[in-house]
Amino acid sequence: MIASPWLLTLPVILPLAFGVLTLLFPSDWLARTGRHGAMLCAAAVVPCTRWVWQAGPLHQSPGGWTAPLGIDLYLDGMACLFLIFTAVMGLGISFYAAAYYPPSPDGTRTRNDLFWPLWFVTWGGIQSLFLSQDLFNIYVTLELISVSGVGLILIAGTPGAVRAALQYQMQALIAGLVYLLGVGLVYNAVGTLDLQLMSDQLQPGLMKNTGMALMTAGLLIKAALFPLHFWLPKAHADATAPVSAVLSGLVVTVAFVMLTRIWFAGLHQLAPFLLPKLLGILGSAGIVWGGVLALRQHRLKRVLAYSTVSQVGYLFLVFALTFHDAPGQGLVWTGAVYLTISHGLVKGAAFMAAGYLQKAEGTDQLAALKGCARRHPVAVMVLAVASINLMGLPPSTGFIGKWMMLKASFHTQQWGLAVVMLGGGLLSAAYLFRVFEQLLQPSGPPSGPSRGGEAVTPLTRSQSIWMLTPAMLLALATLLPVLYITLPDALLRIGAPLPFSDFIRPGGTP
Amino acid sequence: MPSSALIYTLAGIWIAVIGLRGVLAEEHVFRKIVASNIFGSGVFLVLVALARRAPDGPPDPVPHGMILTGIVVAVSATALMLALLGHLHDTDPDDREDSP
Repeated sequence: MIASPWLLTLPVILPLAFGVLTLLFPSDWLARTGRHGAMLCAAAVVPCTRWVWQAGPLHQSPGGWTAPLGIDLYLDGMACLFLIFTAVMGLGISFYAAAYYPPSPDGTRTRNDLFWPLWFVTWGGIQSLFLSQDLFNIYVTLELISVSGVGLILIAGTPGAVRAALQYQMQALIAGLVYLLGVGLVYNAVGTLDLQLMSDQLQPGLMKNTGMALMTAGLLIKAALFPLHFWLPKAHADATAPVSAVLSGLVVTVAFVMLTRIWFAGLHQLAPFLLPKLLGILGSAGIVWGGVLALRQHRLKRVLAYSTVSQVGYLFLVFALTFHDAPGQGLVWTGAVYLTISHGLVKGAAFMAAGYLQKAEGTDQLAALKGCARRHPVAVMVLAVASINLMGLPPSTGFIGKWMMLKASFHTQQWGLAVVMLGGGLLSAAYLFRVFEQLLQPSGPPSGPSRGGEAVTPLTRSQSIWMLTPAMLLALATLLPVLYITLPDALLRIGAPLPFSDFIRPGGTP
Repeated sequence: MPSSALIYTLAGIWIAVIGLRGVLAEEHVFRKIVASNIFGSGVFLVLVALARRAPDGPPDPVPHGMILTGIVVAVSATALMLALLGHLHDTDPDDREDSP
């Protein structure tokens, strides 16, 4: 079987092409172009999945320039799973955004219209990042994603959003430079940027160890691991809802996935001895700190943003749990991948529902949302489904991921991490119940529906449907893992970086 | 006698540390932006120094490519941040001393 030379290039080129098109098209075409573009971009992932499923991992060199000189694209099971995840998120976000941003009355371009080019460029950047196998290409795509993220935050147009965007760009620049310095040091010692090519010359050395630590530090800022999360809550809460869904659902995920990609490609041998332990401690601190701050917020989107800080903490426990001599590495890795994907899906859905409530009620102040479960039952239902996942209750994917990691913490006898994981679940229950206490009040506040001081334009019926259906589907997708749990598992095994004898099936024995 | 590459590397690290300190410690956003550029210059200097692998051979072009890309990113990020700061300054003059 011969792969079409376009197989791995299309998922990158298509979103970028739509980014250019939506920049040129008149305002009243955008919603439709956005929806159709999203469907095409998502469809580009189908042949990739077919290929991986039938023929295994695939290397391609765009333009015929091979690895030492050119930049290879690499598709394995994990990359494919994340491409599918991005496609699903992308579809949901695009349909939601098409309904969220109202068409301008006279057909002139407004600031809202900039959502589409920026979003498609972000999408292309994310897809190309998941296909990257080259340390420097990772840098370039991360910067691409960050810069378009800044633009996306600015769509909100408020002074708060401008300040959040400024801080976002500052952290992105510093994080990128720290990462770049690390890449430079590793390159200087190894002589290549390709992850595959360098895997056979990874004897530790001062230069390589420092480089690895710097690369990790740069990605930690981008992934918002405590205490480097300072930029996240403002940016995610002050942006418009579709943008919050992009940032919290997709963009935060990306830095973490690339970090695992680099570590599991063998570079963990270069990590200074205490680094995995340190990441475990920071992850634990993030779980607790994010949860405690989420408890103290008065706005729904702020609660969700701090919940992201807390959930990112969970992901980083994977480093403490995996790079350990005990068996069960594959289990943690699979668990972390499930957790990443389920968090992305439900956080996207939750921000969509929060954006719906904000639009319908004119505010996302918790006190003003009192009793809105009566008025907007579906949106509150989406938040409820998302909450089940964030708390890690069965039968959600969040539960499966956390359970796998919990099991691994017993295996490796890291009891402290187990306590933090269980306590973090309780903490999420606490901050989410606080939200639902308000939403489920039998009666609302006395005044009419313009409580936040903003004028509320009532949502049309079709607008509500198009906003809530994608949110509901994304949220429900994480509740039905019984139906498809074997699929991602089988996909992850294709070209997996870990020896499979180490893998423990859920519920099985080593 | 230390090699010139070593001197440049150490100088680059020193400049990067000064810049990083500025980004973390300065109150005013404009100073933070300037500091981030100093940090960037330090990083680029380290990379340039490292690119000279053999004392009298030609330097390695790959780090140079990386630095050029890094400079492009840093310049555009700086322009964007300055534009945003200017916008804040114009729309919200009471707030200009406030860090974001």
